[in-house]
Amino acid sequence: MAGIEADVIEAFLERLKISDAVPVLVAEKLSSALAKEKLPKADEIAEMYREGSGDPIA
Amino acid sequence: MIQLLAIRIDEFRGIRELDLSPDCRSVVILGPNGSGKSGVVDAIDFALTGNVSRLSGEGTGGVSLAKHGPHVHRRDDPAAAKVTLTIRHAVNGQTGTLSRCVKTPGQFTLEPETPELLEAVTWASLHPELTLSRREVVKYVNAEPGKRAQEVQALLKLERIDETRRLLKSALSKTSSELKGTGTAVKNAEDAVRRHLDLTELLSEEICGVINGYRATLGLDLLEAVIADTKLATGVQGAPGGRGYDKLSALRDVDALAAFIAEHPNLSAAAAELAAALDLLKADPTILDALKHRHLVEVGLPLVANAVCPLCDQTWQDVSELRAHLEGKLARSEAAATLEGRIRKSAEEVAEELQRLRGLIQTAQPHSVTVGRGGDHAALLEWSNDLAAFEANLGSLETLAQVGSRLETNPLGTPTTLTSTLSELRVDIEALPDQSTAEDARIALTIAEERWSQLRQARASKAKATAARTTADAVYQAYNEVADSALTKLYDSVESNFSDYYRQINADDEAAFTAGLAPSAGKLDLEVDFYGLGMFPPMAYHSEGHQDGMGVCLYLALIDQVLGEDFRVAVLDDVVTSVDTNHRRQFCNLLKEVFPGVQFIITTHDEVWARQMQSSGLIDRQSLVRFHGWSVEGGPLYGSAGDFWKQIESDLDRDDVPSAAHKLRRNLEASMADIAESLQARVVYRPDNSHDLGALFNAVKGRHGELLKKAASSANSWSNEVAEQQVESLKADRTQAIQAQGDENWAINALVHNNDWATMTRADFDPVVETCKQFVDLFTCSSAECESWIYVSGTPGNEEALRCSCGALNVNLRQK
Repeated sequence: MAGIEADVIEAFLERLKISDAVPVLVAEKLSSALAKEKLPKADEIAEMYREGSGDPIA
Repeated sequence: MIQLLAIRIDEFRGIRELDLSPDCRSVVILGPNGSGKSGVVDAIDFALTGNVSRLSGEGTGGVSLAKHGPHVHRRDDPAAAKVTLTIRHAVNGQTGTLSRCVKTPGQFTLEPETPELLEAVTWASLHPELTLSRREVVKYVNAEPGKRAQEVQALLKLERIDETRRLLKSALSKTSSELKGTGTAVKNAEDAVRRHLDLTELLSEEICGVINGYRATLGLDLLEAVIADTKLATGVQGAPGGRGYDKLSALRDVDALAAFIAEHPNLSAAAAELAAALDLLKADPTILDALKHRHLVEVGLPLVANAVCPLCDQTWQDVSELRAHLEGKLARSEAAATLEGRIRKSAEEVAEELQRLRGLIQTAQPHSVTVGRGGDHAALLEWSNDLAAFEANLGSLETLAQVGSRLETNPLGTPTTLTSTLSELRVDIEALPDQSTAEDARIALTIAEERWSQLRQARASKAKATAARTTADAVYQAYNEVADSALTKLYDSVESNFSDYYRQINADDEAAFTAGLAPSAGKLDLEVDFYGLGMFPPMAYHSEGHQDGMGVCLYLALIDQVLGEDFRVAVLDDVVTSVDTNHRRQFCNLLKEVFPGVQFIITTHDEVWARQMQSSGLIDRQSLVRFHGWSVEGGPLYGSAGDFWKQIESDLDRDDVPSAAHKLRRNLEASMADIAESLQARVVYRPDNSHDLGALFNAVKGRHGELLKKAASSANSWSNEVAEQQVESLKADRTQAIQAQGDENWAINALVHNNDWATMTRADFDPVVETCKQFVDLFTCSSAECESWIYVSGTPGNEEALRCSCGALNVNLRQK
């Protein structure tokens, strides 16, 4: 990734880490997914949100 | 990150064999059009990136690197077409050779392959923007905003930022859709509980009252309150004979289903709206095409540069016709997008109503089993599945086209026997024998427990979906804030640097120049100040030369932004040609002062411009490569200007006085013209700029003497003894040089005025060379690192100082 894009991603992930609105698990998974050369599908991101947000459903 | 020590080109483009040794210094390659200069540019581009930007992208007319990269005589032997760069790591000084051949352009050989060099070479391969042609400069300035945004984003490597933004937006949309679906499920589950308990509102107290009524009948503990986790049927024992039934509750379920089938105004309105919108789509199939191709047209329109369509290569009558065609398509697609929004909204409303209906079927259907109507149960199940399939078809424009007729006729797809089925079911339920009050209470509590549990799960799913949606929104907002902030900062910085650079070049007439870069929705508007009269597009009023200057300044501002400290080499192919004559020195100063660590490799066909680069100190005296001509068989005819005194000496070593004399004269002509310009010497005006060497000699000699007098007078007026001594030293050098000229006057006259050297011997010519060298040295900075011509700052009659580019010489000319 080029400099500015990398800077944006780095700042974005830092922002997620301190955001109360974004669960830690989501921030971690996004960090890993967005660092890859090929971006993931939107469905995969949505699944990350589902998995990491709210209380687990019994 | 790397700089070029040497360039070796074999059988590449128009070049058979060529060696250059820039030695990590800036170089100017000078030659007439068609002399092969751009072949060197292509070769560097190829060696660094494995590609030749001029042979890729739009407008290449079928020319490709693979087919046309090798020299025409070696077109069937791409392995022979090879470029080797000797490189130096600009930070750690490591050197190596980087080679590529056209046969395997994606692979390079690097020796030695140290990790640092490998990283630097890999980095360079990702930066084709290190090579810039005039065509590319213009695109930054004169492109339409959409195209400019693409070009600038590509240069700044920002595509991924937008790609990531779109990805997160899409994920957000998905979570929104899921949340909507769970909301409908909760509504259905609430309806089921409400119907079962025969309540109009699901208030905790009311639920508690009904449930406790049943519990009291069974002698069970009463509930103090009902919350989400409450087990409504705690303590209820299962009946040995089976589940039993709640007759009234079952009748309410069947009635609710029947009522929906009889009257469903929301569904009818939404289905009618959807059918009407789909009719419009059906009436004009090009709308769907317009939607499909919308993005393609959006991308293609800014790429239109001539009458050839950038999307399909079809040639049009003229460019305006092509542009109008694509604009028409875009306008149609905008209308189509509005229609698409209308379709999606009404389709979502229809889907929501269908989900509600399926919820009603789901609660009614078990009752058919209770009364022994297994066939009806299967029919209801089949209908529910049919509705689910219908609902799925509402999700995309393509599948919606298949359900258009159903929307108009019978969106419910009601089975023909449904009304009678429900009537008979109702009768059968009513006919069920009454149970004991205790049994009724037991079953009512069991069903209440089931439906309360389903509601709890539906609410949990909705809460989960809400949390996911909140997360998605927070992530998207955070990304937007970070990306927008970074881009705003970036563009502010680019705008500021661009304005600074341009002002630096045009300080004399546009000292208050400002530029405005405004990013918006995939576009990047550029407006520039025009002499304080307002902000306009660059093409509006500025001359072509000024526009070219802006292009280079914007490129430098952008590349400085993206590469920062890694910006160590740039190849400028004919980029500087149109910079106004009056601003060339300032342009050179800009490159030299703002980018002192950058090796510029510059091509131009303008002899005067090339010399100005040298005289300004941007290019040192050894770094001019002159291309004299080109032939198919031999490629470029070139020679490095280098130290021409050494070349002359070499000729003399071979007793080739005519050749040495020819070189001396040619170089004196060029040098004297430069020096005359640098010192603001006066010569008789000639419209063709063809000044006689003798006239230049005299003008330079006279002006130099005049300036030293001014310098002496200045030093005296300031009582500056150091300056006085410095001027005296310069005067002494001058006296010695002129004295030497006097001694060799006969030979110099022969050279300067008569071109008469044929009869001279080496013994005759050696002193002439030495004398001329001594004379030229009077106007040359003595620093080996600089060697620029000395020049006068200020204007004639108002001279300020006599200087050189590196500052080693700085003699005041102003009086106290």
